[in-house]
Amino acid sequence: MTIKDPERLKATGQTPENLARALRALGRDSQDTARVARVADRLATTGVPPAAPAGGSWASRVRPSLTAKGMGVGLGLGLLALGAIGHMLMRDRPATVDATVDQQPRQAGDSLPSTPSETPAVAPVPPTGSTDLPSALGTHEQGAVPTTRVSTPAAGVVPNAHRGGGNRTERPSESPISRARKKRATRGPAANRVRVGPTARGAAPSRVPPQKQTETAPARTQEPATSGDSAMAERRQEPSARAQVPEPDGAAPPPPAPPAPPARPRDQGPSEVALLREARRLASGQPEAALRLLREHSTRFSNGILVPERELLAIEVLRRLGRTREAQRRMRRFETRYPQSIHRQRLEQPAPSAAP
Amino acid sequence: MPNLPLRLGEVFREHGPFVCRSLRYLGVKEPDLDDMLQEVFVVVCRRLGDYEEKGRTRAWLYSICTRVVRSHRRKLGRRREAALVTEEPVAPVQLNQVEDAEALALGRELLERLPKAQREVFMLYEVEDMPMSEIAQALGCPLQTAYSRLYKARRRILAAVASLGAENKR
Repeated sequence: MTIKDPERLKATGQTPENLARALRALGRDSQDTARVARVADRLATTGVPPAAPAGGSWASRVRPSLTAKGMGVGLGLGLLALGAIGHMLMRDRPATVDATVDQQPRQAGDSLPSTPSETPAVAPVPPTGSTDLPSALGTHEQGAVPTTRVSTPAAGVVPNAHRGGGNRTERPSESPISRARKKRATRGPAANRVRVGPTARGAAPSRVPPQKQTETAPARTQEPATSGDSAMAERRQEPSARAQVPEPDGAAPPPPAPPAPPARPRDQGPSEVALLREARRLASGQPEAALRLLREHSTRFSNGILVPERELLAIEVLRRLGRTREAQRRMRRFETRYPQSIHRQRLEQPAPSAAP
Repeated sequence: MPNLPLRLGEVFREHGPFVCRSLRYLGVKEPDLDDMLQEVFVVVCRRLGDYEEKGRTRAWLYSICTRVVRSHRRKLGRRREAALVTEEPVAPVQLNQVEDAEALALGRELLERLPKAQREVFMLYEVEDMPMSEIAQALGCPLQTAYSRLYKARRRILAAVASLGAENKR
């Protein structure tokens, strides 16, 4: 016997009008369409994980993990048994067991500092932390919160608190990155400026001796915040603005008006999404060209919202080229920087065959 | 939707907003919605090969949403991280948009008054127009249970609407 479904509330005439309207509105949330398009774009840029062909490759994907779990349980039981034996032995010879236990944390600690020491040397990408979110929000055309970033490094960001460095809330898990950041900061402002500023991208560099820069650096706090658009925009404008600040002891009048800020790099050439999409297209046929595009992306969109996707693609391309050590190094950095990223699962997949 | 496999693109186009709404009514907050939506479609993409089309795509999608959200909750429980980002502001500009925004806010408020089990059935039946048999399949419960939840949810919702009306008259 089949039961006939009751009439829906919004279809009956007895339903209060406001409820019927609410039910209809719930069914057509216009924000959701935009959200779907955004995520589709993101998936298309990142590349969709390979679809499982019919014939149970889903099961084959699951089975290794199950066997791995089984092995883990077995291993755990074995270790437990070994522990019990060790405990029994410890009564006789406590010194040897203590020595082996003591070595473990030291080894683990030794392996940790390798990441920060490598990061500045290798990194073509400055670390994207919580500072990036407001700028990404301000500049991205879709104006959406990139939630991969929200959930990973920038989860603790209060949107309105992005001025004055108040947004640098870093998690303890990102300590290698923060250490690398500090290291970069101690190298002086010039290093940062070369990396971030527009002069590094081919515009006429304003050469200011390092001494002058250090002298004028305190005056930065007195400068009025002109744009107030985003932290990123401020950072981009800083070098040129600082170069034109007169020396404090000089009697020269202030310059009439600062020149217009340089055009934002995002306005030149393809957009962030287009660049990554092109790189993904080239990744299989012309990996070298794809790498070039990825490098361009890291230069132009060092704080872009698709940095994790770029890193992911770069690792894939490097693997394909057979540059496994480089890929592994980058992968380690990715895992440190985005410990919660959903892309990590893709990285754990076996590497595609390397190019000859 | 460029570069997506054809069937995934179809699912995305046809059911993307449904997945989005389902995630929201399963309790996912706005800042997490993009990530959750992406995760659901990553799972969908993997499992499309095994999926047999029986005209119950939404039930299948909803069950995936449920699992993804459950797993997300487990992660959140481990991290114990407070989200500082609040809901996205809605900025209506025209009269009909204002009305829609008000109706939407009322709908969401009413749904939040329901217990989760009743909310799911109510939302899938009254908002998404899914047949009850499909809803029972999506939720993995007997058909009669689904009916019972629907009637309870309706009673609560109508009572809530009546009380809101009484408050407004005062």
